[in-house]
Formats: sequence, C-alpha cells, structure tokens
Amino acid sequence: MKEHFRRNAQQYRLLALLAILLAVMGFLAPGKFLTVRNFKNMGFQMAEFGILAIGMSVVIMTGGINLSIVNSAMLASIIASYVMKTLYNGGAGMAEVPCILIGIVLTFAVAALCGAFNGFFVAYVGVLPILVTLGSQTVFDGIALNITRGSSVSGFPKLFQRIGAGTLGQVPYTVLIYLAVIVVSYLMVERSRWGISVYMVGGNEKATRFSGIDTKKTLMGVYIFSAVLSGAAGILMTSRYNSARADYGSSYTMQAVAATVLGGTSINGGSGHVLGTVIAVAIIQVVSSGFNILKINRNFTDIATGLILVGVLAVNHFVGLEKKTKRK
Amino acid sequence: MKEKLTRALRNKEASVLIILIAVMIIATIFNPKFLSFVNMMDVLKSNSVLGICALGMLLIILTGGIDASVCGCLALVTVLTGQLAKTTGFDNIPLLYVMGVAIGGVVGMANGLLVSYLELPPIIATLGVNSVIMGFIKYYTNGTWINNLPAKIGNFGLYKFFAYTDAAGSVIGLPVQLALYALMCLLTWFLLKRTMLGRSIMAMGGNPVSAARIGLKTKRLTTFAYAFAGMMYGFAGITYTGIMKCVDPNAFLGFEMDVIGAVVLGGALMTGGQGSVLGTFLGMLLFAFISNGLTLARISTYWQSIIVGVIILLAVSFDMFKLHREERLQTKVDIEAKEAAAE
Amino acid sequence: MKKILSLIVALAMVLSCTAALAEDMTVVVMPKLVGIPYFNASETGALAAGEELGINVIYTGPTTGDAALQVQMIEDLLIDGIDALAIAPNDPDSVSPALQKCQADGVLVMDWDTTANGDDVTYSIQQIDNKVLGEMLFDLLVEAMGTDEGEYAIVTGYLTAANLNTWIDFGKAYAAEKYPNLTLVTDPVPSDESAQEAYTQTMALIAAYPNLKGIIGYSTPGPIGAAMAVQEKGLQDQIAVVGTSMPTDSAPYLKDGSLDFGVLWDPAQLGKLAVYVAYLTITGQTVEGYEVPGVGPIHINEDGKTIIMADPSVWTAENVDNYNF
Repeated sequence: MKEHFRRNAQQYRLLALLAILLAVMGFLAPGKFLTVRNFKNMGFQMAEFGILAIGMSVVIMTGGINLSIVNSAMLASIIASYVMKTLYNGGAGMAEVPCILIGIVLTFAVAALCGAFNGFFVAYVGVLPILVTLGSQTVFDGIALNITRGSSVSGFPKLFQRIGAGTLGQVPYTVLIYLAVIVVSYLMVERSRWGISVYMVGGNEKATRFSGIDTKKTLMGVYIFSAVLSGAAGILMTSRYNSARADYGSSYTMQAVAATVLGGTSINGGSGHVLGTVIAVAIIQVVSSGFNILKINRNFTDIATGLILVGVLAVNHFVGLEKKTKRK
Repeated sequence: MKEKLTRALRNKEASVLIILIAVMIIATIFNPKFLSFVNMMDVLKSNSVLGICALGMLLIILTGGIDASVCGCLALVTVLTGQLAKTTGFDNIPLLYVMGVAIGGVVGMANGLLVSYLELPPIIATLGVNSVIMGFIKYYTNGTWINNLPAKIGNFGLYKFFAYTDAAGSVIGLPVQLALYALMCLLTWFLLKRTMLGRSIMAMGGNPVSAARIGLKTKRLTTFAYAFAGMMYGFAGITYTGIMKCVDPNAFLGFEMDVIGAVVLGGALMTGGQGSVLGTFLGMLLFAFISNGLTLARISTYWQSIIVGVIILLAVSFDMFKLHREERLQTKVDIEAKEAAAE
Repeated sequence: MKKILSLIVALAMVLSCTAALAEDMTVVVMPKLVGIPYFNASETGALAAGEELGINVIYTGPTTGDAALQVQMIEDLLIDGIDALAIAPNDPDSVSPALQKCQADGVLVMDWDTTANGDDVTYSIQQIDNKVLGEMLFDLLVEAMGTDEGEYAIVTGYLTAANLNTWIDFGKAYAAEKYPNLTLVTDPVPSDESAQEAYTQTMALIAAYPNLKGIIGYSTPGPIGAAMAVQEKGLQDQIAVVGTSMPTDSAPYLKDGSLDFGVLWDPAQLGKLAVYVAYLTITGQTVEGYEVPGVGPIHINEDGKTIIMADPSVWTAENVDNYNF
C-alpha cells in the first residue's frame, strides 16, 4: 500500500490539487459550483477534450507529439458530416439510425487514415514527429477548407445530437463514452504487451528494436490509435455543436500537450499514465468552468492554467531532487 | 574536386538548398516576376522579422530545447516600447532597439532559468510563460492597436539603401530590415563559430552528459541560449514596429510555429547539437518563398495550405531518404571491407 | 509572486462586484472573442448601457475565436444563472444546441454582430443589413476605382469567418449582376486577422496581378494591411482599397489616399443597443420605438425579430477625424 502511494505520488499530488480547486471553487461560488447540474455540465464539456488529451498522451509516451490531432478530428467529422447530410437528405433519404452508423464508421475510418499518414512518415520514413504532424496539420486543414470553403456542415439527423446532449439518468452519454475510452486506453497502454512496447519505444527506440520488437509497427499503431481517438472526439464535437467546421477546437492542440505533461507524462517519452492525463484534464476543466461561473475575465483562465502547469512541474522537480539527495 | 562537391552535397544545408531552388524554379516558370529584384526585396523585408526570430530559436534548438513564448515575448516588447514611444514621443531608434533587446532578454532569461535550474521541459516552461504574458497583455491592452507612433519610427522602417525612384513612382532599393537581418546573421554566426561560448553550446546540445563531464557549465549555457533568443525577439520586435508603423498586440498569435518551422526546415535537429545560421537562413527563405510563390503562381488560397503542408513533408522526408541511402551504402562498404578482409 | 498577487487582487475585485449586484438583473454580452479592438469598442458601449440602466452587464468571451470555447462559456454561465445572453456567435450552427439550452432555462437569448440561427434567438440585433453592406463595398470599390471594369482581389480575415463570408457572397452575387466587367483575380486571400499578414499577402498580389485595380479588405486589420502595401509601393492612384476598418486605425492611410473608403458602424453603439433591448424585454417594456440615448429609436423589422441599428458609416480622408474609435 505504502509502496503504491510512493510510486504514484505524482498522481496523488495532482488529485489533491484537484480536490483543493474543487473546494475553493465551491467556496467562491456557493450553491452553484458543487451542484449536480454543474458536474453534468462539466461532464458534457470534458469528454471531447479529455479524449483528445489521451490521444496526445499515448503519442507523447513514445517521445513524439501529434500537432495534427484536432485537424484529423475535424477532417474526419467534416467528411462524415457531408455523407450523413447527403444520405439523410433532410429526412427524405435514409432512416436516421443507419445514416448515423455510417457517419460514425466513416469518421473512424477517415481518422484512422490520417493516423496512418502520420505513422507512415514517423515510423517508416523516420521523420521527427513534430515535423510530420506540423506538415500534416496543414494538409488536413487544407483538405477540410477545400471541402467546406470555410463554412460549417450541418443538417444531419436530429438523433445525432443526442450523442452529445443526451443523458442516462443524470449521467451524460459523453461521460460514458469518455469513461469507456479511459478504460480501453488504460488497458491497452498500461496492461497489455503492446503498451509495454509503447513505453519501450519512448524510452530507447534503438534498444527496443534490438530486443526484437517491431518498433515501426508499434509507432504506426500509436499514431493510428491517437487518430482514432481524435475521431471519437470529432464525433462528440460534431454532435455537441450540431455541425462541423475546419477550425472547431483549434485551441485544444496545445492544451492537450499541456494536460499530458501536467498529468506526469514526460515530454521525452518512456513514462506516463493515462489516469494522470485524466486528472490533469479535470483540473483544467475545473479552472475553466469555475472562472467562467465566477465571470472572471477569460484572460485570467489562460494565466492561471499557465501558472498551475509551471507550478506543478516545479514541485515535481523539487520533490524529485529531495528524493535524490535522500538516497545519497 | 569531385570529393569536395559530394561532401558539400551531403551537407544538411544542401538538401534545403536543392528544395529551395526547385521551389524557385517552379515559381519562376509560373510567373517570371517571382525572380524580380523588387519581389525578392519585398519578400525579404516582410520576412526579416521571422528571420531574426529564427536566429534566436536556432540557439535554443541547438541546446535541444524549444521556445513556445515567441508570441508573448514579441508582444511584450512591441507593446511596452510602442506605448512609451506614443505617450512620450520618444523616437530615438537605437535606444528603442536597446530597450527591446533588454525586455526580450529578461523574458528569455526567465525561460532559461525555468528550463535549466528548475529542469522544466522547455516546451512546458515556455508555454507557461507565454500564456502568462499573453494573458496580462490582452487584459491590459484589450487588443487595442497602438497608433500614431512618432513619424521617425515609420520613416526608419521605410528607409532603403541605394534607393532610387522608378518611373512608376515606387522606391526601389535595399530595405533597412535586410541589412539589420544580415547583421544579426553575422553576429549569430560569429557567436557560434568563433567564440568559446557558441562552440560550447553546440557541443552541449550534441551530448549534454559528456559536455558536463568535460566541465562545461551546462546550466549557464542553457540560460544564455534562451536569453540570447529573447534578445533576438526583442530586436525583431522593434524592427516589426518599424515596418508596421503601429503595434497590434495580437499580431504574433501562432507565430512561434512559423519560427520553429523555419529553423527545422533549415536542417536543425530538434534533439540539439546540429544546425547552422546558413541553414536557418535557407529555411526562412523556403518558408517565405513557398507562400509568396504560390500567390504569384496564382494558385487558389484553398489549395495553398495543402501544398505548403506537402512541401514541408517532402522537405523533411528528403533528408531522411538521403540518410537511409547513405546508411545502406555505408553497410555495403562495411560488408565489402569485411569480405575483403576475410579473403 | 507579484503575478499571483495581482491575480488574487483581480479575483477579489471581480468577486466583490458580483456580490454587490447579485440582486440585480444580469445581462451577459458575449463577443466572438475578447481582446481585439472591434469587440473592445463594443464592450465600452455595453458597459456604459449597464451603468445607465443600473443593471449588471457582464462582457465576456473566449480569448480565441474558437467555437468550441464559446459553447463552453455559454454552458458555464448558464450554471451561474443569468437573465439574458446577447451573443456574437463564431458559428451559428455550433452554438445552436447551447442557445436552445439557455432558452429552455428561461434565459432571454439574442444575437448581435453576427446572426445566429433564427429559432435560437428572440431578437437579432444587427449593426447593418448584411446584404446592404456586402453590396455597398462593391459600390464603393467601383467609385474608388473610377470605372466598373478591371481586376480586383479580396483580402479577408479567416476563410472560416461566417459573417465575412456572408458579406463576400452577397457582394459577389451583386457584382455579377451590376458590374459584370469586374473580375475577381483569385479566391479570397486570408490574412488571419493580422495587418502584417494582409500586408505581405497584398505585396504578393500586387506582384502577381500587375493589372490589379482594386482590393476589398474584410475584417478590420485586412484593409489596413492592404493599404500599407499600396502606400509603400506608391500605387495610391493605380489601386483602390476599400474595406471594413476602424476609423482611428485607418486615418493615416485615408489621408494619403492608400485607403480610399473605410466602412463600419460604431461597435460601441451596437453593444449599447444589445443591452437596452435585453433590459426592455425583461422588464416588459415596449421595445419598438424606444429611444436609446446616443443611438436613436429602435425599429423592429416585419419578422418581429430583426433589429437593424443603422446604415453603416463611411469614412473618408475628410470625415475620419470626427470619429474616435
């Protein structure tokens, strides 16, 4: 038990920070923040960003980065939206359910293709991930702009909105989907052989290759996995905003990197936990929602997030130093 | 002679140059005006700010770091100096440059201390610094432009060497920004190639562990690199104000990606230790010429970003293809040597 | 440490404000984003109206023009309990579900600056008839060019900006009818709402299309950047530049002829009008015909929804100094 706490100290510190923030917000906005209604509200909002952040984390665990994560989400959504809109034809065409199913499958398919595109350049050509995804970001965005000419796509079955707006009892569907993604990602990354190879590639790619693991395949898998998650986020966003446009969620990219690192994943790869990212996402969400409810100027949200990020990492650094000196 | 040529071609810079020349040839075929002196000068002038910032970023990337605070640093420099110039009518250009460099240097130093002494990952430290600076700037300025700067600042920005007025009435010459950029290139080149400080930074980026072992003060060197970059941004900020004759606090949103892009297109290695002023210059040119060339080639804006992305991917892959080929050749040579030895 | 301190001070200030006025009516005016001059000016108007009426006006929006962030802010503000929301949507479709949530909660929803989907709002406050503005820019371009034939280019903000695209589409349709000899040289060129980018792009446009006679700039930094390039090239007489711009930013370019006409409305008045309409509706007063101080009487169109503020003002070298925003 003690061993467990010590090994996951970083995550428990984050959890403590989250609890403190919740308490502070509850104190500052009594009767508003700590309510079922607000938690439901945050649940609706958190899922799309949380899924993107997990997709980013897995890539960062291999020592890479995926700057095109939001763009692949939106490109997939836009293509799927077009197809849904055409098939549904304002109610005159296909029935709602099969139309939506086709849309969802198509989103995942296009997203996976985007991931394979990134994966090909990273794994098989050997270009640095930051460069590949910088380029593919522009390409995906360009294709999306070309299709839509900058406007948004909407007009799909009403039922599709239910994904992002519906609830099961008091629990939003989005939260259930988010939970499912967390569980699947946790099992895949932290409890499977594939997951071990992901960490190993991030730690030392060459050594991993010599140990007989096909690092190229692992990397390819990671980029496809990341993009498929972005597709899931794309579906939630399209449903929640009842439309898809090339620039939806543009602010999520760097935030996802921040959430990943705040959650304890090393930017150099080789370490990190899915749950750490999940807690970090919750922290960012609480700050953002709390400040909005308190009607604090939005610029302070950015400032506070920046300070929390630097602060938490500084604490981690000092705690790490202390441990090192103790060991000596 | 031949050996010299192949060695030159194997340079990182050479592959950038090849792609750059290809882009220039294609652009010229589509529109011969691309190569005209006037167009070249215009492109260089409006991208000089990018070029100067890239020099600073180069030093950071050489240490294996990255800087996401370019936007905040430039905004802070331009807003503070702009506000001063507007309210007091202060228009001493050299002193404005000194102030810009000082402000930028302080921001860079803060980044450097966070990175080297707190050992924060560079992208996170600078991202944090950036959001804090931008948050305050946007809160206090509310994004309002600073207009009506002293005329001297605008005139300085329009100054051209060897200027003459052509028949149509436009002034042709060597823009002052180009001279400033060249000066900064020389300075950075001298620092990296001719001083102990610069050489230490190169060595440290290549292998920080052994650099520490041979007694290099890696923390101080890292801090210096970030401070130097901040000073470059400060210099670029004042140059920017000269071109635009006004200050827009939001002008630099997303600019850091352009700067990083220019440096890595120029062959610098993100993991540190490799990169050069010449390469960065070529990278900046590539960046600038693609965008300018596409418009001159009359290509629809909806296609432009796709083409830009593809060229970036080609450029960065090109290097890897070459590397793979060399590796294969190398192994072949090794095997042949072994076989020869066995015989 | 100082930063943290000032943050705490700011926090406390905001808190004490909300506490003192908690009993009053709360009207939220949400721009597409905060921190750009245009929406900065409308903030002044909205807050002034709040003071005049003695109600609590909150002017807040995302820090970037990201539709996703805007939706989150609406949802969060709803938790706090507000009486009215006047929104300038980044995308009409994207905010639609959130606005319906507001209406279901009994919040009065209106749009301003950019129209939302009709069913989502009680009132739609528009600075101007989009069609009128779109067509007006082309009339001004022809006037500035001195001829109705020749090549022109469009420099816009973002390719995804809904309202700019509406104006461009209305304008192009009108030009196809009325000025068939005007030819658009290429698709709208985005300037990312930055004057520097507009300047760089215009330089390239001038080089690419030597017969260019006119440029229409959309988004407030667009025309300024275009004018900057024309000024530097000394082409004031060859190339006409018109567009939507703030008068104080355009003054130097209007005066030397590099910018021929600037068009806009007073964003402060727009913010003011939005708050007044919200106040009148909630307090159950008649909206139609009410005289808003400094703006004029309110007139609701036949659809019972659309309120158009006024015709846009045109600034020229002669009148630009009369404006202070």
